Amino acid sequence: MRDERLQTLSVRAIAAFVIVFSAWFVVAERDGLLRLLMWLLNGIGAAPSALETLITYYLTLPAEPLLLSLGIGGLAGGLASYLIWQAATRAGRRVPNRVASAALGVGVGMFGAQIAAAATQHCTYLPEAAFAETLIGVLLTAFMAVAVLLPLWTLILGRRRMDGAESGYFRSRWLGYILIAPTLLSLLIFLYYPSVQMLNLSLVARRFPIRTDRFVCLNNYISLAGDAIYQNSLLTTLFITVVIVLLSMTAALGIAVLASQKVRGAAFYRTLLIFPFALSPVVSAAVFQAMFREGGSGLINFFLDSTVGIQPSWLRDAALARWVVVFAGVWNILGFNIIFYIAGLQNVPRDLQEAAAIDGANRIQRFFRIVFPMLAPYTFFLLVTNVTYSFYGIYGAIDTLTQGGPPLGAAGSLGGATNVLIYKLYQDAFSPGAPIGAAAAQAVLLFLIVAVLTVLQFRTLERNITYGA
Amino acid sequence: MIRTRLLTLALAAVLALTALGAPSQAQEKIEIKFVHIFGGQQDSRSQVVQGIADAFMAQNPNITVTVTSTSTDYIELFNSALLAAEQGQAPHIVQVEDSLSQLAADSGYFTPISALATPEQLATLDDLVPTVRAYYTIGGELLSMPWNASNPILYYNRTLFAAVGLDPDAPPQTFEEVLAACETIMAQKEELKLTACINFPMSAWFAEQWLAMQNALLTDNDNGRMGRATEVLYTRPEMLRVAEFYKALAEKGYYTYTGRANDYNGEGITFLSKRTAMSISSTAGLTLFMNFSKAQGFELGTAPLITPGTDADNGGTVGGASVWVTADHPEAELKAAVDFIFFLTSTENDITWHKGTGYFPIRQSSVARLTAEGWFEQNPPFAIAVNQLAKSRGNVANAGFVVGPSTEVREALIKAFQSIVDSGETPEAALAAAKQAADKALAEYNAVVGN
Repeated sequence: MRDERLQTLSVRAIAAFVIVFSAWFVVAERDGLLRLLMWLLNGIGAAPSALETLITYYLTLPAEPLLLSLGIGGLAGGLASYLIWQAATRAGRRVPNRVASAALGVGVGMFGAQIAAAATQHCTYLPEAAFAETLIGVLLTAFMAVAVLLPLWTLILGRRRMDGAESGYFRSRWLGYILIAPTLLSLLIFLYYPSVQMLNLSLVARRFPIRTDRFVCLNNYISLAGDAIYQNSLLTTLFITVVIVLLSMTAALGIAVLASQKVRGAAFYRTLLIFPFALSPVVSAAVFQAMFREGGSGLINFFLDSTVGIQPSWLRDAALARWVVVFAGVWNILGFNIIFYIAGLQNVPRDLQEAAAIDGANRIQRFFRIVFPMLAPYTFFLLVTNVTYSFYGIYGAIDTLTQGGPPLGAAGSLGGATNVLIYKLYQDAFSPGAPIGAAAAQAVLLFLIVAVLTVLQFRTLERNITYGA
Repeated sequence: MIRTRLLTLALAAVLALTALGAPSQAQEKIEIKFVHIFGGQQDSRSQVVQGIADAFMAQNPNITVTVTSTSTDYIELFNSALLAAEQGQAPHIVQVEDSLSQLAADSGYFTPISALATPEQLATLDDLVPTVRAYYTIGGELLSMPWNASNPILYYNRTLFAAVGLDPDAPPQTFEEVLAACETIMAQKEELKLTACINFPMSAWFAEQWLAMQNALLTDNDNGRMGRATEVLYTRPEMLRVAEFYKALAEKGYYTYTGRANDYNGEGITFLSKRTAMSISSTAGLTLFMNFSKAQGFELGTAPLITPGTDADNGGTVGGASVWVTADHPEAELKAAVDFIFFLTSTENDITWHKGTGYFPIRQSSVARLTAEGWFEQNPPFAIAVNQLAKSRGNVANAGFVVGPSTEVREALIKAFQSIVDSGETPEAALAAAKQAADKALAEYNAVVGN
């Protein structure tokens, strides 16, 4: 009885806090919120004219590109639909008849194809398009046709019934929607909308901050594919990622094992070990810069010069600069990895280890046969986050330490030794007069690379992991 | 029931608060925003600016000038100002670095100052130092008001010069003399614990100076002032001469830099910690160099920027920045912004600014008054930049180059020097590759912007 009252009271308190906070937020940020509202209303208001533009576009579109895109979309959709129908029939699911399924596939495929085709203004179907452009265009069209079709088939086949006992539900259908609305709205405004804008931007030649632009079809992507600087940047990124991930995770595991030993003041050591993670990448990179700076005022070279009498070119030598960046990256993410491994080690059941010890397994055998496999979920999680960090988070260290240098080839004609994709993207997007269309294309490619890597990791590794003890 | 009542109450509270907090629009107050780069910690220059703004507001009580520094980096400041402009939130006055002038003009977010100023204000422009005025004149029109103008000069360690037996009163003046002085200095490298003989930022700015001194152009179409530049002239003998200097310095181990391009602070630290005997940097850092050299216990020497040779007597270009007025504001605000700019650059404030920072005076009347006061006699280092500038023959070469993608054009040159110094590339190959990269950027830019 008392518990229930306490619960009601705390719910009320939280509700009151939320209301007061919201009121304060609305008042403090009223200008920005009003502008946001106006922007949204403008967007909704612009919908009819956008529709009109679209209709005019299709009315004036030459027949050839339209028919081609419809044909490819219909073909891909029909084929995909037929294959799904076959598989579903074999599995004994209830399905519509063969002709209806194929027709549905063709129709939806044609529609889906237009999403890709209209976004690229059917430019890949024009006679003047380069062969590579046409090829990518066909693949893109087919992909979009199938992408629209798949969710439809999921609906037709019906969802597998969830176990009612395990899934929670709201009493009022609307409450759920209201609760996710703020998140959805911010995702829509700050993530999905910019992503679509970026796709659009990757199809034009534009120089920030000049307002005029020129539609160039897929040219930004094509020229990236043939660009030696971009290829080297990709290789550099892969190298740095592999090394950072390997080093940071092995080092973290080693340190975590040591830090988990029962010694006096273990908590103190652990705090110190985790501390690097509390520093922002830029702050830690500034520390590294003071250490590795050349010209005689860097700490490391000052020390080396006065003891051994050497002054290595940490930042001016291509090979060394890469390792400095790797070192900074590893140091930065080490604390994060240690936290998770320490937590993981605490969850390894002691009885298993004791049993193994009784059976005569030594420390090393126990570690590799019991502890390490039990840590697999942590290792997998850290692998995904470390790869993502190496692709995106390394930016701060590079900007402060090497700015993508030292140049490779005469005057950097082959790129820079530490010019990783994310840094190249930043430079191409944000220096004044920079080609932001090409930068947007790089952003799209970078996203695809990381997405593919993540999916691959989930597909290949996660299957072999058992969660829970 | 209770829930509905609570909700109504909350709504009412929000509405009341909104009404209270809403700005009243009855007063005729004019507010203008000015953004600059001097907001670093302990950067005394921002106080000088604020002082001038306070004086302006005291004279014009209806105008509020909000001076802010959103970044200490010219490029970031420019980006943030123009991103704000894209959203219709542009600050009224933006400090724009010299090399970004063409881009600022092409962006369409600014109004030329000569189109906004009153005839009386325009008449005072004749007082501007001609080379300074020429730098910011594109297509015959003064687009922005020059403000903080600076030149590179040679800084050297007099104490160290004396120690190795060089005359501290006769610092090197040419490339050759630097190489000769370095030979003497580096003979005692170990005893003096030197890293190298000379250090200066890995930058394109000095090469631009050395080209102007040889009366050579950096791009076609008269440095981009008679039409859009379509190619850079990096492979001409004048630039080759500069690149050969880098090569000679690097091969003999006379030169060093921090490993980062444009690292003015880092290079200053190297020189001030007595790891080199000479350095080249902007006059803008003069006050800092003087203070720190005292703390480090050595006597600082300053001299005009070294030249490629005695034949290179055309004089250098004016670096620094100018202030631009953004378009799309009510007329009253634009007028206030222009008035403030002319106040900021009036003879009196020009003198305050020069004394407070080391940036040199941009008005002839300021130079005259400072000379009459005896300021330059008492502060010889400050005279160097002014004298250096007075020697400049006003022509296209030392008016400086204007191109849209200046960041890429300069970066190509920096990377050429880096590959000469760090990976032993030949000057010819490095400059040819740099030209290729810069020309590509120019072609792409021109294709987007049109003519």
